[in-house]
Amino acid sequence: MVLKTQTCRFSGLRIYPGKGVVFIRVDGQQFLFLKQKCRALFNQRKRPAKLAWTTLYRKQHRKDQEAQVARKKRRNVTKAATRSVAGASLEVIQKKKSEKPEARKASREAALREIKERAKKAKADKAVQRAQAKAAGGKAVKNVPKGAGKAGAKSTGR
Amino acid sequence: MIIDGSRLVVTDNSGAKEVECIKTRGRYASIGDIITCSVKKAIKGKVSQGQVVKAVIVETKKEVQRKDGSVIKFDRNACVLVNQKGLPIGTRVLGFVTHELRARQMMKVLSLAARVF
Repeated sequence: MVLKTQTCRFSGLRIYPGKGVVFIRVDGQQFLFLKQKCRALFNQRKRPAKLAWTTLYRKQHRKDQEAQVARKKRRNVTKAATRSVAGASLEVIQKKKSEKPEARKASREAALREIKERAKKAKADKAVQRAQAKAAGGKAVKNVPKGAGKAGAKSTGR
Repeated sequence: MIIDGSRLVVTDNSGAKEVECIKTRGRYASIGDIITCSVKKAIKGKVSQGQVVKAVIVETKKEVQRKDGSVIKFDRNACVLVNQKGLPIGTRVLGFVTHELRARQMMKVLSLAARVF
């Protein structure tokens, strides 16, 4: 279960359920205090930015920044790392990455050319087939009605 | 913590501005309780100065503890004037109201309030 926490208006610390006092001013503004210490200091009109133990002061004086920077760096490193994707192993990816752009371009063009040629070939083949079919079909068409007519006559006779 | 003699701000448009508590049901009253009070300051409206009225407490300086452990407190002691049946005398509730009134069946006051804490 995830506990829903709120932040103290004065100290900036987390407030867990069951803790803290909500103070509602006449103008409707809500103040949530973690403990009596925060409430008392607020009532004394002390400014949290001037007390060293509050998160506001620590933020202003850059107290916890080193830890944050370290955490960020580590995160970036993990993001930059390459890993194998489905269908392409790590080695293949690395090889592709290390290739020079010219070589890459040449290989790509070659592949494209091959595809084009294949398409042309297929087209030519189709044209040849169609021509053959036409030649054969012309004869067939001529033959079919004769045969069909005869067959039909025969069939009707039966 | 409202006792006999406590002065409360009236946060409705009944005409009363300040009342003095003259009778509580127990030793002291808190948010949601109905008290008897006399009107100390009033402008023209449904009630006048010196009148004895009932009122439901809506805000207290003393903090109120809830079942979930949270605590709520206000800047002032305030009440809303009601009749014998617990319905508000005024037509508006100008201040704040808490969920404690729901347990006391003060639905009319709750619905009139602008903000419920």
